[in-house]
Amino acid sequence: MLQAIKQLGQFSVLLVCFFGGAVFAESIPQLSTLTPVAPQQPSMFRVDRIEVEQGAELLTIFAQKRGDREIPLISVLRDTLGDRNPDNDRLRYVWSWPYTPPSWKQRLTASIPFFYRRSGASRSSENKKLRPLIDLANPDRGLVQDLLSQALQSMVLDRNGLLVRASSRSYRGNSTDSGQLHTLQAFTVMSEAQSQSATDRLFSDAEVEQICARLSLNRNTLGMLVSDGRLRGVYRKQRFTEEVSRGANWDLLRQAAERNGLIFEPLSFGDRRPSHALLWIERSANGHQPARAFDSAFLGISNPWVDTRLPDWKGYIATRYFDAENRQVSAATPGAHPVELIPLALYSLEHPRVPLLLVDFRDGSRPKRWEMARRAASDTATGVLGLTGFANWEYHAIQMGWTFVRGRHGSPVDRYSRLGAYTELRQLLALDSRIDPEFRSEIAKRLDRLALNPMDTNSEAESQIARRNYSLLMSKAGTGALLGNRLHRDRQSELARDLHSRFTRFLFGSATAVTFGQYHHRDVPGYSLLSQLDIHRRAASQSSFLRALVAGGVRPEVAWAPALVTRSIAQLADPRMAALEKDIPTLVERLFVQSQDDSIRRQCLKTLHGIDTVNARDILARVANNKQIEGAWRDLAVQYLRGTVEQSYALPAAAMNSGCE
Amino acid sequence: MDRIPALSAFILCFALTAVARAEVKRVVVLKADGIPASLIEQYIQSPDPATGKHVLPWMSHIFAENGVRLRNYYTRGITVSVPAWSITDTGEHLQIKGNVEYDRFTCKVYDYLNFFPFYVRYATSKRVDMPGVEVLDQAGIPLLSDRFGYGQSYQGFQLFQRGVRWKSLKDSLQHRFTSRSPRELFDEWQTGFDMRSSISDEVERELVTRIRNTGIPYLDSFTGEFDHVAHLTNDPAALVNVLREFDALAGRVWSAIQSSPLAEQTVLAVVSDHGMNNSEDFYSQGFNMVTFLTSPAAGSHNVATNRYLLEKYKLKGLDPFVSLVITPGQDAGYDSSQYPTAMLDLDGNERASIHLRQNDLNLVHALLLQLAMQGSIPDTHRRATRDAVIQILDKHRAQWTQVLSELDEELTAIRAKAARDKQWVRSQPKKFTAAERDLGLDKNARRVAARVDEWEKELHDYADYAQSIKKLLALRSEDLTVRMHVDDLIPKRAMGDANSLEDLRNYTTGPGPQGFIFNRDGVLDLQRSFRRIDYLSAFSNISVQNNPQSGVDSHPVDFITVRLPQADLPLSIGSREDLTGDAVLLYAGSGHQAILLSKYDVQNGLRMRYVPVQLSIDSGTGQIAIAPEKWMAGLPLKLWEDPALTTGNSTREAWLSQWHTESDWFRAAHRTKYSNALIGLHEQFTRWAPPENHSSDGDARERTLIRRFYLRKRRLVEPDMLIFANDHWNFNVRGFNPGGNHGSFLRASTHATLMFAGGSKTGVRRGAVIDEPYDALSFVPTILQLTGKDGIPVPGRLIAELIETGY
Repeated sequence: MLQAIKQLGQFSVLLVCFFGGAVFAESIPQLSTLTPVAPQQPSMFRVDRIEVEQGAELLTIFAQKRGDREIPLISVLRDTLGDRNPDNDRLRYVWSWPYTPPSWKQRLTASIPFFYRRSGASRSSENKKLRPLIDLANPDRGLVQDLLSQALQSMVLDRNGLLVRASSRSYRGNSTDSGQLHTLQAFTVMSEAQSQSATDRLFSDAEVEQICARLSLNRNTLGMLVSDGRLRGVYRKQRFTEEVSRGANWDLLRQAAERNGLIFEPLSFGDRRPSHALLWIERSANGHQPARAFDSAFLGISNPWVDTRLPDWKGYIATRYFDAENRQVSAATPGAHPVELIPLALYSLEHPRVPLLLVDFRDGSRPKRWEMARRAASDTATGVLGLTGFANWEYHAIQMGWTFVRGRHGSPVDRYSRLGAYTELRQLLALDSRIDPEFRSEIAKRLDRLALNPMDTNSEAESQIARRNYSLLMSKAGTGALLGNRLHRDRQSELARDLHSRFTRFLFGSATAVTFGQYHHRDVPGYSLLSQLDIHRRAASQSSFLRALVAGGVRPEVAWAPALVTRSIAQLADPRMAALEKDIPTLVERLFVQSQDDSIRRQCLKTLHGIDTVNARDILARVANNKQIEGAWRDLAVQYLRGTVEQSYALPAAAMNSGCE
Repeated sequence: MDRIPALSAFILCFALTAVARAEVKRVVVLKADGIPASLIEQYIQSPDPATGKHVLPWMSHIFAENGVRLRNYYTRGITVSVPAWSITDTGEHLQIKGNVEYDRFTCKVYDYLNFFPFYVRYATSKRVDMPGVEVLDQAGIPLLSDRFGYGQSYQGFQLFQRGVRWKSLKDSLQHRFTSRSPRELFDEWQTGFDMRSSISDEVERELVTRIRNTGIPYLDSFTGEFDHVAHLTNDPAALVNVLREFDALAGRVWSAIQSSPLAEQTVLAVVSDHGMNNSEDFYSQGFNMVTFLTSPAAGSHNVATNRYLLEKYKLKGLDPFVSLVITPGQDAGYDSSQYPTAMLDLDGNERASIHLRQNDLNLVHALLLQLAMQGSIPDTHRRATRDAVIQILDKHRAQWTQVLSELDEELTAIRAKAARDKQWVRSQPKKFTAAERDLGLDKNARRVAARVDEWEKELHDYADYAQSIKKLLALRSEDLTVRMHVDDLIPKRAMGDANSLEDLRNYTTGPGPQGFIFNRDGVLDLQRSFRRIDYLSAFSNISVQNNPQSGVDSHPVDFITVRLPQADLPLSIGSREDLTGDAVLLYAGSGHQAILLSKYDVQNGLRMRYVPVQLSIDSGTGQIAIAPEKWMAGLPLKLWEDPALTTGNSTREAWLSQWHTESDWFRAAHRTKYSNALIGLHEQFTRWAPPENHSSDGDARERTLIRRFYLRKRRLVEPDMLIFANDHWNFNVRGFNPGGNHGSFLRASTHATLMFAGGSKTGVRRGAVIDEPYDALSFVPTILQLTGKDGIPVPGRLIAELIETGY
């Protein structure tokens, strides 16, 4: 009996962990009254903002394709607390509209080891809960489930025979890839959106950095735990790495083309720098290709100079015009001569170290064969032989050594990077309308062959799913207060995180579970929630800003306009904030000491007076008694302590309140 | 124009008086590799909407509002880091002329950038100084930090570095972990540890600590981060980020100075060694000179480089100790493991320094190989072939004999000195006391031991080379049989003497397609029997098929420079006896050639003239004729057509056809596309003599011979050709540098950063901009003057406008 219960328990956990999916399940926030705000009109994308009741905004990025209906790609919910002060805004959910949970058929085929092909489109998730890709306000939400799932795999499933191990590993791999594919798609869209002109932006740079960094960190289980303060660095590092790879691969491929007598053509999508490149071969005028040496290093294609199909090529041929300096020009340029070109290969330039072959126009299955071979090797090791990094250190060491050596030699050893390259091209190709449609269709057809995941869906189907998902969201608008409830619950949780320890929160959660949801802990009544959160969020953001200001021990007014600094200090003149962020008085004191700007120093003393805690008064007293500080400041500190400060010391109201509502 | 020297002298005197009254007790120098003045200028004025200040707020505050910035400060010489820093760090003319140098006789590699072997040798007590410092020490040229005495300066980690502070490295590692909370460490673990910054953080920590100490008059810190990033990417956001970090560092250092006891008497300077040709609109396109030289079209050379080519992504490429890698030619005629026939620096940037094996050494080698091969030459022609070998050897006999004789003298002197030094080192204590270490005596002993070690290697290598040449010279016609061992006769891993212009235009790369051709009278026709390449044409005619960027030339090579000895100049170019040193030929293709001439006299100092010429080869004799040409567009440096050239009231033709002083050239041309190229080329090609050694160690003859040996070694590292890349091209082979490059004389690459700010007692002006052009030679004399060390003779011009008038 006990054994049966144990097995049932294991099975339940297995169901939750696996079929809960890589993307955590959440009930869909429904929109209440939707108020359209003037839509923006960028070229490749349109960003739409919809105000939501109870103080939030839904920002949606649409792809605009010539001659086609626009496609909703991602939406982000920004919790504004209903005001215009950006200091207390928080980003919450990111939805990827082309994503929908896999169908049962897809799940089933995903569990079949070595089954490397798409198994049909997903149903649109009508009548289902739309799932956000990530919760930016609570990024570690799926962590426990993830860890549990991994533990279950290693401790239970891997020990239950070859069949269970191989199929569960296969399912996990496909499921993870599917989740990552949509994360990468969302990342590509956000990066694209940022490259638009500043006037079209509805996301601030900081928000884009936050979203992209979180999406990027989502690939690692523990990456979800990285602090918000690191996100800017993560984003910049990622962008830098991409830029470096792009430039190096651009030149590597150009030089390889030069060495082999081929034509190199960078490929740009939208306003981006070239992220891909094509290799062409000049079509021989007399139908005979001249024989010449060919160095295939890093190109991954066979020698085109001995390819008997090329003289009689039936596939796509492009005509380009070149000037005397071999630069591509328009046909109308004086001296331009036309050259007929046969496409050989298409590469991703953003892949680390070497360009990644994505399309071989002469051998469409070559990239797929390579990818299948790599996956099969990995699946054999983990699924069939049961070798894992944790349990078999020898395997781990050999794998690391192999990966290092192969990677050093330029092999694309990182599955995530390969998936990223494939996803990015698929996404960009679906959005771009400037490439010759015939050629785009050729590329898309070949790229589709790289879809090895049974849970994958093709671009056309994804567009339909995205529209249906978004319509589903919109159709529920005004039908209920689900989003309002969700927001309310999230805000309560946010407040609880600020006010209570993890353990206390665990107790609250247990109480809710024990009472079957009858008890929900509330720290503040609903009517004061917004004002409480406003204080919490502003205290956090302003104190964080001041911490950064004082960190270098330098004068704050040099790197920041004094008005911005005083505004920030002024916002902290509230004892409730000092109660939340204990170091606020100390920060203000340090600012007073480090600054030489009168307005900042005055505001520091005024804020200390406003905080009015023992600590703040102590600091004022220290200032008053410090002989090294000029007399006027000491006098002012004394006046604040006595409560007799003259009004002339006060800052103009505009400086105090700018940006605040 | 004639009044300018007098005016300058007046300003200089005035400035000197002012400096004398100024009170500078400490100088803090922030060295930033490759930061271009144009970017600093742009961003200290650009508003940042996010902060309400400028993009570089601290630079703006310190130097734009409270200091002095030089708007026209340039690198002197080629714009690569090691030569550029060598001038900035010493104030002396160039001794080191590349990031990597090769000795033609021994193939010894001077890899000045590779710090890893230095750290290891320092750890094993075999070295004390970075390789660049060792060369400067041999020349007797001190670093700026040396001028302040041992223990009186603080030096950051840099190219010209004395010693390694293990404590700094250890502390950097320790602080990396102890200064962070577990939460921060976890975040770093997840996002990737950045160990590079831990050392710079530690240096900053130490610098700030020492700024509080009043007893250290000179402190510096170095960062190569901008250069590193700008090579990799041309993304403006990435460049701004790294500039912001440097700006914040300047802010922290300035704040530390302001709160230190010597705030009023401290000068802060920011200096960079060169600019950076980095444009958002262009990737820098690489051209692989190794591949080119190994191709049959360029002679199938076995090419020696200082590292493995990164392009191949070999595991061996990770070996930091490697010093010579030979890439075999595609159709090489010589054993590639023993006989490199070309050498070049992998860190090419916008220029390539190319050594080719001496043309006649190639010829002799090819002939001997044929003679040693049974049946390759009909018996009837063997004698003629042997005669040809002896004839070539006879051509060089006198010169080679003289070189061997001189080398022998020098090696004897070195041997004697090395023996004495070795004995002295043995006499030193095994362990030094703390007091002795404070005086640097332990380092000094190790320094001498390192020099002895280096000399011993050199004695061995040069002796090997000399032995091979002696064997060659001793060859008689009857020795040239199939039984001879060619490998014993031809010096291995040696390039031999430098090639002349004639050699380079008619270079032997191997036997011709028809084999040896003999005249009717039975004499071997050397001209027709061998494949010949005119390297000046070959390089300048390189053209690429893949040129995807409009605005970039399809020819990677801009122009080629070659040393032209005075003796090779025709009288029509100018009276030879007036000239000082060799001329420099600039070759930009057929019909686009010019010569740089220079002369020196006490009254005017250095004067230079740039003369358009036409080179032609006499088809009969193979000799080169040089004839003056008219000024026209398309000449190297494009001065004629450059609208930024200022010639005053003179017409361009009149002005350009005359001799001008260095400062006249500088003022006239610094805003042109190639800025101070003429001065840079003169600096690069002049064999600057180091100061005389007046020590009492050894006799005068021995000192003279050791100095001569040093000068010989410097001559032996001179390349045959210095090739400059066209705009947005580079010759890097060690890795891809698509972001941007430097190395050429393009203004983007020469335009460097120099800014000063000082406390109220230093006399340094506030909110001032200096438009007068200065170059790197001016940095050290200005610092020395500021710190009251004005008695030290250094060649550069003082930056007179730095000090407030009437101070």
